Amino acid sequence: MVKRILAIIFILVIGFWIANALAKVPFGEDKMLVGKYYLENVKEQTGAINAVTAVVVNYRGFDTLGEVTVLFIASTGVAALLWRRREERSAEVDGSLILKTGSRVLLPFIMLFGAYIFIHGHLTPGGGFPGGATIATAFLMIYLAYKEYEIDHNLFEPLEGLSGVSYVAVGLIGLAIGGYFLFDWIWQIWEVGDIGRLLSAGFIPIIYTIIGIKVGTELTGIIDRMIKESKEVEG
Amino acid sequence: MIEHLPALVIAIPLFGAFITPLFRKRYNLAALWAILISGLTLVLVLLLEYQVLTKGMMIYVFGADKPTLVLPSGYRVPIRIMFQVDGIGAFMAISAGLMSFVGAVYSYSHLQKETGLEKYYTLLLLLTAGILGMVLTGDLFNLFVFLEIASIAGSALVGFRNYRGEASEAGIKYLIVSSVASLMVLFAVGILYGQYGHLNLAYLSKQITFNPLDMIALGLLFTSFAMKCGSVPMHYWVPDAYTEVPSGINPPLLVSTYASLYALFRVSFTLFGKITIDMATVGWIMSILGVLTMFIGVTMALVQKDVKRLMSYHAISQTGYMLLGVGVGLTVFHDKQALIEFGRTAMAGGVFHIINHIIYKSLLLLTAGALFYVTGTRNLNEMGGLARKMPITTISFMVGAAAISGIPPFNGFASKFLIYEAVYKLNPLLAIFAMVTSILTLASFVKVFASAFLGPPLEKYEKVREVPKPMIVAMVILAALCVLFGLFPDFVLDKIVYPAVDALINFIQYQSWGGLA
Amino acid sequence: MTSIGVYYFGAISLILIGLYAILTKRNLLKILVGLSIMETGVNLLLISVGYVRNATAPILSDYATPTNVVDPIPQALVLTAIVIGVATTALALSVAINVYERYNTLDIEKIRGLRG
Repeated sequence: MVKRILAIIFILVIGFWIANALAKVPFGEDKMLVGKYYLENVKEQTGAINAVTAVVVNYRGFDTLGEVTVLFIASTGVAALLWRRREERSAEVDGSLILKTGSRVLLPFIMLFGAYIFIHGHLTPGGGFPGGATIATAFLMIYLAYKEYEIDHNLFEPLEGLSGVSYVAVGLIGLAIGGYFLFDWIWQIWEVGDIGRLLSAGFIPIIYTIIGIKVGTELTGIIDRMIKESKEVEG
Repeated sequence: MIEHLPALVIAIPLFGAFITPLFRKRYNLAALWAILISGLTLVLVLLLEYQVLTKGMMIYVFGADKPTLVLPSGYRVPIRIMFQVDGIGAFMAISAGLMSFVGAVYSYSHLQKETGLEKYYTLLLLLTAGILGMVLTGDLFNLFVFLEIASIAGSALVGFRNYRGEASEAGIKYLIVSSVASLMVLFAVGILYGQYGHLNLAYLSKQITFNPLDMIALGLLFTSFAMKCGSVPMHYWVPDAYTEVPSGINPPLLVSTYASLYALFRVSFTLFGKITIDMATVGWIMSILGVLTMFIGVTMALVQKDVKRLMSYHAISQTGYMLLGVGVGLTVFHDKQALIEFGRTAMAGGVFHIINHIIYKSLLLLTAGALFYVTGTRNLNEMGGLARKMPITTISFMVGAAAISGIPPFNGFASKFLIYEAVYKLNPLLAIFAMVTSILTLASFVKVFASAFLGPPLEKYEKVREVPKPMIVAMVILAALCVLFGLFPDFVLDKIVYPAVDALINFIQYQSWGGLA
Repeated sequence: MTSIGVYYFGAISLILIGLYAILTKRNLLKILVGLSIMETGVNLLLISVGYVRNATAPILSDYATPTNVVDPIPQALVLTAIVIGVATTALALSVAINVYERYNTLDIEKIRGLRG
């Protein structure tokens, strides 16, 4: 009880102090500095019309590489931590008939929608990460409907590793062609495509496809590990 | 090729780490691949240090199309992410590369009996990449991303031995503490971006002023990096994490803690340099924290029975030495004459102590891991009389214990002497505390030596032999470095340490991107 | 009235609620939920810093010119931060599963294998 009261007082004091100080940051005013430069030059320098995507992949592409690495660490860590001698799924019954039929019907549409999100990353909101999460949702639905289903580990794990390698490879090719790591060689040197069409924006669709596949397989792998439980070894 | 070194130093461990999970079940191949990649990284990092020493600060822009800074006309701000490598960044990068190589070599045989090892080596390489990114970057949000990479990889490795409940408990504590610290860093990034509209460290340090919002950002950043390096109010996660992690990861995990210490120095000296050059408060806070950490660490270590836990409490207390040394330098930052007289020496002592401590603490923890490998226990009361059976381990332990207590001619003496000498001129009381701590450290290690190695051999350890060769190689490398750094401290000081100290003091150089603008 | 920064009230209260949950709750899963709430609060604060009044999403087209769109940079930062938060939560939950399998309880007062 004492701990709670002390915690509440401490938190209220800190909150009041922070709120008072944050009054100095004006809300809703146009105070962009680098943002203005990005918005004015995004069409010529990157070829995308979605400024957020251009910032994520092109101008601050190194942070995205770090983010992909964090997800990879999470997936490897979950696989390492939840390793058991023998494991199995512990569900007792299948889902209901509606769930089974509905999931089979909806599966291709959800995967198509996810692919649409990450392929059109440079034109509409979205990109690789929501697209990959949608694909993982499709697999989660199948896990919930069928009690015996399991993904093919021999397909998913190498796919995940290879997508990661290809992201670093794209960066290294940029190094070789243009002189800097993660240099957008497709738009700047080869000049493929027009602004506003699907085939444009340099390597943004390529990187987002790689990220979409990687995130989808990783999240599905994490779901698979967490759903199983260890079987008690007899004797 | 040489000018692409900063990018290659990050790209090669990442590339190696993405390939490692493909070696399923062939653990020896995965281990050899990890040793190869970390050795390659070590060579690249040494080249980077040589480059920085001869040609000054190195700037590297990601994705730009000209080998100069991208400063479009009319704007005086950089547009892309930059890596800004100066003396202290290269110094920390050397320790990271060296420790990950030693850890990979040691793990080759330490973990013979475990499974799932290809994931272990993946996480080791990713931890190395995270630390290297954190110390080389010049962009605040990039620092946050690499800080998260290092903490998440570290906590996955802490909980790696999932058949022990204590390992999972240590893992969850480490993860919660580091997540809260990272969220506070992100909050500070939000505040600073809202005010100034940019994320580049050098640009921000030119714009920082003395208003309440920036003081809040300084407080948040200082607290969260102090939390992550194990100084006193938040040191509870350190013993648990260092004890439960597999011993081959102890060296990189130590470097990850000191990378947060580097980030603390970067924030105090460079980012808020315009403020701290006028006030001494931040420096006093750092020095007092240092003294408290030293004292509490060593007193709690005296009562421990578990050998690795005892060593981790000593690690906390030695962190106090570094905070004290650099804190003294920060306190006299505003006073030019005192700075030249003893501030610079104190900071050199603190920075030299970082690499010394990493070397001898890793040596001690690796010997503790060797004891665990051979006897299967970590409790000092159950061990005894192992000196005759494991001669090389005993000698390595003696070298490490002498180094940590500050006995000449080992490297601990060199850095501690610099700290005593300089701190005495600021305030004699602090120096007395430091010397008392040193004596208590010696007492504690004499006790460990007596219980584990001396005495009559127990019969349950009759069949014990010396540990396998890769573990011996790792320990001998570190012991040799202890002796070398102790016998030739001036060489190390001139080549590596004083450039790092000058890079911290001379933040104007950092602000102007090494003279480019 | 506006000298207290009411516009950031939502973000700050989420951060404080999350911090309260981490400090006082005893169940391990509730602490992780508190961590998640705190992450959401910080992300919300980052996005609201970039808001411009009467402006639209930063996807350039005929009526969304560079003068009336919001700032794209905080949105990119938050994208990264959300993914990092997901990774942390996934890892924390798997460590919590391991803790439950060994100690058979999720009460942090009882999980005290490491002492001293």
